[in-house]
Amino acid sequence: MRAILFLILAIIFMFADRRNIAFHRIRQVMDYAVFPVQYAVDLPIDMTNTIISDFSTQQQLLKDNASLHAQVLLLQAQLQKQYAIVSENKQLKELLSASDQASGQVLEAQLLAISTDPFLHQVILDKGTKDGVFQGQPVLDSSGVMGQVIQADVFTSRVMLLTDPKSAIPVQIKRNGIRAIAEGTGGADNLLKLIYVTNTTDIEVGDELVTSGLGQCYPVGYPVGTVITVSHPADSQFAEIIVVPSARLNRSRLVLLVWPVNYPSSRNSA
Amino acid sequence: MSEHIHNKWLIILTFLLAFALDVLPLPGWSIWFRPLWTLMVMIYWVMAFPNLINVGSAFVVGLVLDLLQGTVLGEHAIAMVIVAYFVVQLYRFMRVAPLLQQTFFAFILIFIYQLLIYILQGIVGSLPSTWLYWLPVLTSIILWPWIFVLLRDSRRRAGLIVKG
Repeated sequence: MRAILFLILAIIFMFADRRNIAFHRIRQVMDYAVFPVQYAVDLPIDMTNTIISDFSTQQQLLKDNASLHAQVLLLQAQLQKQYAIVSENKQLKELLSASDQASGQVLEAQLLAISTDPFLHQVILDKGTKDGVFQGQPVLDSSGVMGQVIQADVFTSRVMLLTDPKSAIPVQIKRNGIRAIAEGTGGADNLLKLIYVTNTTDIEVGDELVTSGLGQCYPVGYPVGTVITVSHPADSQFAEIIVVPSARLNRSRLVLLVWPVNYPSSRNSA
Repeated sequence: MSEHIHNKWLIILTFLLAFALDVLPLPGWSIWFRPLWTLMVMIYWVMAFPNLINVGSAFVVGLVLDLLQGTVLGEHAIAMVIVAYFVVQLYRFMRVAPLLQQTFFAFILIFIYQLLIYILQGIVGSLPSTWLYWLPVLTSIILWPWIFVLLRDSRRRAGLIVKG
């Protein structure tokens, strides 16, 4: 029976895709096949946007505006770091140890106008391995951390947002330096939760969280989110803490890819 | 009995169109309303040419959907293959049934598809947590009669004749 055969094949594919790293190479090759479709969907939308802005009488102004926006994005990202450095400096002065805060390279990327399954919390960027993007690379927008690259193809890359249930990011409270892990809830409301925080920990509503840099994946000191609720369920020794991410996960179209300082980024053209 | 179809371009074109509609960006509020375009096109073509478009094509179409939507490879393929298998078994009834009755058949198939994806998502570990997940079944079924008539007429105009 052919149906059974194809079913078994599909199940093998599923297992391979989940468990086998080598299979990701195959998937990458197969992604070439769907790139034309993605491109075909993105192109008319992109073109419409271009035409709309072309017909505007203040063409030059718009162009300037766009480049200024890009600059603001870059500067804001750097500024975020400055804020964190200032607050961290207080602690460091006491410890008399210098921290290595040299900023890594950054590259601006655009979201492709492709929407994935709404329960997946992923986006697709228009930069791929040809620009030096690598798996596990952190992705930021102008107001905070967005997520990390989970699959880098040649022309595009797939980013898992912080709100994905599979995503976890080591964070630190800006006010008092307490460390925790923020996990995605996977809900449609785009929230994070702090896990394994004991009931006695000093966390308040309104506390701002920044990346702690532990785990070597995300750079230190970028904003992650703000605590919106803290509750203490009677049947658990851990507090329930809900965080709203500071990155505009469903609104940003321009994002930043960051190369950590110690990563060999010679392939990066930017 | 094999069917000789000289211009398959219509079939390929409708599938490409369905893929595009499946990943077309929509404004945030309408994201859960998106009908299952590819599935409906799939059901129609299996119904029309079960000897040409069957579980094999369903497998390939499912894989493309997985690649496009970023789900685990094989997830949509499994659901597509199972639905295509049912259509191959049922196509004689579905072809001659009045449109209302046929829509009911399609409803069951689309529901099975969505249920399978739900179960597979559960196995993979990211279960959709909102009831809005089931909304596409409804929007698809509202669109089914139109899609059916549209595809049938364009098939006739292209000179593809259904036998058997």
